[in-house]
Amino acid sequence: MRQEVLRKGEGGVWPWFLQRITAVLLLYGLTVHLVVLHVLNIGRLTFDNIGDRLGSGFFIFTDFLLLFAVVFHGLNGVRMVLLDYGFAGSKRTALDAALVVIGVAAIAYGIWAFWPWLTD
Amino acid sequence: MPEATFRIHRYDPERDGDRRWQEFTVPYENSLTVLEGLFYIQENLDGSISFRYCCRAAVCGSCAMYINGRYRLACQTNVKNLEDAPITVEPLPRMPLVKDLVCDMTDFFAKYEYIKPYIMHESQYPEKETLQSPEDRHKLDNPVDCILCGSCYSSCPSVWGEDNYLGPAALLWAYRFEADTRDEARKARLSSFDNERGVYRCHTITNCVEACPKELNPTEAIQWLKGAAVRRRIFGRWK
Amino acid sequence: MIYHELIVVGGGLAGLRAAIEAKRAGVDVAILSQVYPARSHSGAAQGGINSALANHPDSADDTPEKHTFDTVKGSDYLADQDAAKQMCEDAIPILYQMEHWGCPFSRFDDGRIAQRPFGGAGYPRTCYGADKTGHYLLHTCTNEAIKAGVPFYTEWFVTDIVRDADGRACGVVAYDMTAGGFEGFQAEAVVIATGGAGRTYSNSTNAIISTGFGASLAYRAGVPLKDMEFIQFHPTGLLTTNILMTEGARGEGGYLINGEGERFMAKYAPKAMELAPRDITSRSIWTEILEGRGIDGKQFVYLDLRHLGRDKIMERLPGIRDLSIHFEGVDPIDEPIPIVPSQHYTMGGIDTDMDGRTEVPGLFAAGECACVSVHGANRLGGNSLLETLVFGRRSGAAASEYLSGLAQHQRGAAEVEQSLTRMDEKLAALTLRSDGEDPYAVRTEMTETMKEHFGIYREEQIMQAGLDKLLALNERVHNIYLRHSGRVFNLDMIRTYELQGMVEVALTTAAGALNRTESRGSHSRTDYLTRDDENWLVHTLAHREPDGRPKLDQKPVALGLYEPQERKY
Repeated sequence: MRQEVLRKGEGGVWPWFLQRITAVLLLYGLTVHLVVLHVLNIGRLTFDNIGDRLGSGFFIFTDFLLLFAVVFHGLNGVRMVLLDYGFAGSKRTALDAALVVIGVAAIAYGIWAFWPWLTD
Repeated sequence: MPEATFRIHRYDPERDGDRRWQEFTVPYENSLTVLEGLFYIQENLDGSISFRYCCRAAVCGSCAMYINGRYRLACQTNVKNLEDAPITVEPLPRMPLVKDLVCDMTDFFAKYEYIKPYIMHESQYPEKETLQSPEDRHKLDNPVDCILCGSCYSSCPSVWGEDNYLGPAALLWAYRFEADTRDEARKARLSSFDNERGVYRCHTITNCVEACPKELNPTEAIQWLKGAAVRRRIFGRWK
Repeated sequence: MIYHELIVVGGGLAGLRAAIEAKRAGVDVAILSQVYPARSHSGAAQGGINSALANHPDSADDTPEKHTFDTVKGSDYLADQDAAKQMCEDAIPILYQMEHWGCPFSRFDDGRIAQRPFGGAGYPRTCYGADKTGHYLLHTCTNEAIKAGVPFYTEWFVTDIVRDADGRACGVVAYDMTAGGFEGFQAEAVVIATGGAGRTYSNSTNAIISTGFGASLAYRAGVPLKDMEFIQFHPTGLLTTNILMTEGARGEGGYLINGEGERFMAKYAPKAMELAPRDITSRSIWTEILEGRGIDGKQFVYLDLRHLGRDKIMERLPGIRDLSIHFEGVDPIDEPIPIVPSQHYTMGGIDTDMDGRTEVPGLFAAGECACVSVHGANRLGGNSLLETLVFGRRSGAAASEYLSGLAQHQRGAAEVEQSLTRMDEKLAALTLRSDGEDPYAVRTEMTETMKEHFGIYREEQIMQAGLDKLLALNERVHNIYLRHSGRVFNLDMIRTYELQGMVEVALTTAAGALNRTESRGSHSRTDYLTRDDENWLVHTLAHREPDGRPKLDQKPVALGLYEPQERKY
């Protein structure tokens, strides 16, 4: 028997549980997106109009939730797929680190893009 | 006298180590199981053939093989019920080979033993039996019938991709004990399967359900374990 | 060479229970088994395990004494009564222990272990887990052995028991099936728990590995085999495969029906009906068949469960249903099951005392391969699982005690080496021969001889002819040759080795049966119709002569609790 299996297992309940939670959040965000854009009418589509909507507390909350959910769900999903292709030991650590870097970068970029509406 | 043609997987590490196929014709009178056919071949046609056997009554799990493209117990498979000829007999796919139809089950049993497949009990036992309602006992009906034949393990793509994934059989047994009202293992067993070499490696492909010759459902048991892990780790509810 | 203080040969219930007991007493113990322990033949037991727990509403006043009486009466008074008493008393704590270890017994509504009626028992005292009790107990004990940390040598086939210069058992030699080749094991003591010799008969319910080879190893090591003439025929084996249909099927209310559609047991056991002891029920079925009242005049009768209804069959007998569908193509919910009495159990075995000790110091035996004797001339259903656990535990404890009394350790290394060389030479000799007797022809002749000449009814001339055939086979078996000389998983070699032991074990059955001029329990002779307590209330002992023939001897039966009387059910 290879010894790895007897080593303490990696990745506990949280990644799996958060994948489910973020899936629910994605459903919520998509619903809000579709309802707001296609059902609710905000009048003429002008820069100010859209800006006001994006700057409202509800949308800042929803969009940030969505940002974190998408980044986690997407990258953790990629990670789960790649784990089935032989990423173990140090390769797995490298994979995790790379995904964290990508995730942090994506979230930083998201915050940067949102910055004007946050400080407005 | 009817005859059955067997096409058998051969592999001898002491010869050339090549895998090859060999055909044998076995006559029979009324009924012939694949296991009886293998014995006929071993006794009369080719003494060098190797396979596992024990109870010949579908309770020991020794003779699980891949017969005509399905996981079956050789003892329980009657040639009359097989449509394709010749009857193709292979060892459990994607397992390390020992010889012919015998595969190496070392990892399989090591993983089974790793999940602590026994009741753990901290409190004092009662003088007589621990009481258990028939309903609570029925929760165990499915997993206690497991004969550890290895079919589910061999059929699981998650096992193919990750040597150290515990696999459906070991996890079914983890469920058998976690779901038992008498068990008090708490974290002792939980930490062996609550990780990505354990339940979270299961992607509910359900090959194991298809493969099981006892018609058990390891996937469902694994899903239950995931739920139990959330209840226990995150909400702190143990039973 | 590998060293363990205690070697247990055989990973069934008795072996596992012995190993757990020794391990928990601090002994360095290992199990050597031909199959992974959870695959052993104990797992094929179906109906249940007897213990006077008094859980059943109809068994409120059941006691171990009543269990003892039923056991002794069932044995046709050949059981050692002190041993039977001990077993029935130990039955209660050992049952609770199995429950505490996690055995998934079926339950009554109040949560207690369920019990059902069984043949020859005055009360419903057979505790069960559906119709897979053996399977559940075997997994429970395998798991407990894992918990205790007992190492398993899985797929090691033991070929010799070694004794040192002082005659003590000091190890074994075994063939490592997956890696190939022989290896010596040095030990202070050896427990043999290798199961029965069912496969010496061609019509056996037993697993293919229940060859009696383990008992033959002890026999060769100088221990006599006891009461080997008593072979139990189970009333209900499936017609084409002889696969066991549990007595629990009748315990739950199943009928036995002959070709004329009648419940013929009314003629033979008007009170107990289908739940008469196995010897009586099997004889009754066989009499019906011999007198032409089999189904369509053929050699089988029906086990009819249809009146129990789908729900009861699915709840209590699901395994029976699966087996009949898969192996006989019959669904017992809709059709009766064709059955025939089949060889089922070896009452006799390695002569031991109540703690598994044999005549050879350091050599212990437990389970079906041993004969304590608690089953005498006929075993009651539900007592075999009990025997494995009770005497497995006792032999494990006795072996541990024996170890602590030893002054000198690690002796007999030279003898183990010698035996190892002998085994290698024997294998070389077998493979060098390119022609000779076909081992499988010899095997078939032996198993057919046992079935035809030493079956349910026995008679002087038929048995004499059978014995002569076996003696001839005992000569021929030395000229067999191997067709495969590979080292890895060589079935040809294993089955040839087994054969030599099987013929010797079969000879003890034959010689004992021919010698015993009475009818008692499972041994029923058409030329001596009655039991003869004056001359034959004794155990038969078979000692091995150098040429493999048995030399018969006798040993008194331990009486004292119950006076022998006529058996009526």
